[in-house]
Amino acid sequence: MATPVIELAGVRKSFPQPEGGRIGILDVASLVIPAGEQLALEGSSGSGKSTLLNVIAGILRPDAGHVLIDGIDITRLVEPQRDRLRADKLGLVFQSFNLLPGFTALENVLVAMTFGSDRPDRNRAEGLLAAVGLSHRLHYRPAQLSTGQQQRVAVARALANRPRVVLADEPTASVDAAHQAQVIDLLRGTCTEQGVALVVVTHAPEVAAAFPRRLRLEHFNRAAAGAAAPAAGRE
Amino acid sequence: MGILGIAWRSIRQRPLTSLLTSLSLALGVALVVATLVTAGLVQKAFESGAGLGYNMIIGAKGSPLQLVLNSVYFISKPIENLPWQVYQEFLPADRRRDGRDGRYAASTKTAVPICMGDYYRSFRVIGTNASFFDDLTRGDGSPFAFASGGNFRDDDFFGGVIGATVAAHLGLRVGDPFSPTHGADDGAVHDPFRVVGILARTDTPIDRGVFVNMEGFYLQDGHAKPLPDGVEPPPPPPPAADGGPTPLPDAQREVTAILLETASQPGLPGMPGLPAELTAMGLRTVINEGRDAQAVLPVGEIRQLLDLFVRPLELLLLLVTTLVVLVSAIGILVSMIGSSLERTRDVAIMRALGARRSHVLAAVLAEAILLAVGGGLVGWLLGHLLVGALGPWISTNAGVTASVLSAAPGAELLLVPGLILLGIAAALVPAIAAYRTDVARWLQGPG
Repeated sequence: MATPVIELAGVRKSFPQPEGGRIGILDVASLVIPAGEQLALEGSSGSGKSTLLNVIAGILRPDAGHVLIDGIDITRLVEPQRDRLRADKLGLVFQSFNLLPGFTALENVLVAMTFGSDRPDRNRAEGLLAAVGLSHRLHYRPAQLSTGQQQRVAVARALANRPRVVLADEPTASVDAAHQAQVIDLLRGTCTEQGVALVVVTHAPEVAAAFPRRLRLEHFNRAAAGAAAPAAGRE
Repeated sequence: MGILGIAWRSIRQRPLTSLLTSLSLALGVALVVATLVTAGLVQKAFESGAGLGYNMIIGAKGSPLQLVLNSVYFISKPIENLPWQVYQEFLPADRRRDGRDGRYAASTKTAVPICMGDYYRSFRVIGTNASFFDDLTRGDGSPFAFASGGNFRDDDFFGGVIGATVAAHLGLRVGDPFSPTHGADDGAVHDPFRVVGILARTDTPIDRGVFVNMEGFYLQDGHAKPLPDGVEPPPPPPPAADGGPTPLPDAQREVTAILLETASQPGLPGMPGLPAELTAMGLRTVINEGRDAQAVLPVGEIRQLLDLFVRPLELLLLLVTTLVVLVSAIGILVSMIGSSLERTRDVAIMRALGARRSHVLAAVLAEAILLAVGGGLVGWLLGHLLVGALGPWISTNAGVTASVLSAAPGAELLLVPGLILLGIAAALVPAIAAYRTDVARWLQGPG
């Protein structure tokens, strides 16, 4: 088995309720994702998919447990260290692409490089955009790009700092059914080319079906499955 | 791409708002710069009176300030005239017809009479003698210099010297004739004088003066003091050697004021002498106790004038223009708060991409600083252009040269650091909001 790039152990996350008390969203005994693997995390709305992704990305801090990215336990890091690790080792693709509207396609990739450990590399940014077929749209702003082109910029941006894994949160949520396969093919193909692991969170079974490994969140998230949840990590 | 690049793109993202915000600040700064520069020039014009080569003015009893304004700055009306005899009291024996020292001659180094009341076009005509330009100095203490020609001679009754502003405005050249009018512009026209010299610019009220030989001045209609009824006209002084005009008898002469430089007094053997300043103090007391005249120390009056009128006015203008800048700064704040929703989304994206809180804090502050400094520098330029545009008017009314290059260096050097502080102050609230942005909440999907 390849070296794990993501390991979760005993991770719990809850949120305060407006009427008092807290509600548990995440209770994961164990989750291991090896390097270079591509998998789909399935789950219905409210099953904790985005919370899990934010915990893995170090944006949310778990209440308990350990999250290891490339062997580094991010729960032991202070926020600036988690930010740096996120910039260096993780690439994020959001459900509505979340490109910066005031920046061109090229600048959207360069800005991600700004926060990483290496100096921004214009040649590499142009190369990434060329790899997703946008070498002729480098200086276009998001509003001047089609939905599909925006998605391509988002993928290129996620790969800006040579991450170990790309986390994509519902990347097909804002494209029609006809384009879903294109987006997934783009993500999978690009991550395969770059040797990067890919974790796609989705509620769409037809999207998950494209991945060699599928995990249903309710099967390993005891908080989502309720008291009768099956053993953690079951596929 | 660094923090400044991110800030610049954020500005570019909202071009109209950014432009209007910077423009309002630019206008505010332009007003502040124009006010500072103009106030500095006007103050310089007033303070230049301290270096004109005299330390006392003798005039008719009345307002000391009016005497200074009239004699030094050629504004306001003369109080009254002084009898010729008063002027004579400051002259040494060799310059008096009776061959005796005047009463105050020992305390006097230089006494220059001036006579006023006429105009040439809108410029004041000042009757005086050659000593004005030979013995007095321009505002900075250096001797008068002539751009062309030279000083008039005392025996050239109808010679005149004009200031640089007068020459520039009226296009007069050496050799040109000019005829002053009695009293106001529309008064009776006097005999013509002739320009014999044009002064180099002094940046003082001198630039606005038309100086004529007072012997010619006295010979104009209405300038001779009327004799009391029944008094026989005195015998006229001997005519000029070259058969020129006969001078006005002393009994019919008056002067408007006497510009006086007091002399230091030699001490007794083994004792220090009395400096000129102390001589002035004593002389002022003596003259002011008399009934004929008043003596004022112009430096003190100028200082009082600055403290009473010029500085408060300057402060008021500065206060108003500073308020304009503050309103503009609030404009930056409002603009940045107005776009905070948009910015919060951008900040959340950048944080998700790995930006640290310090990055987004710095980016928001840099955006405000760029707006403030950009607007401020445009305003600084506009302010100087405004001064340049107002230059001719300032030059005519304050007697100082005002151009695009005129500056208030001290205050202007503080401008950029001030604008950076202003930008930081205006952006502090939105920057802290950006710093505290909850990334997860803004990126949270339905799952």
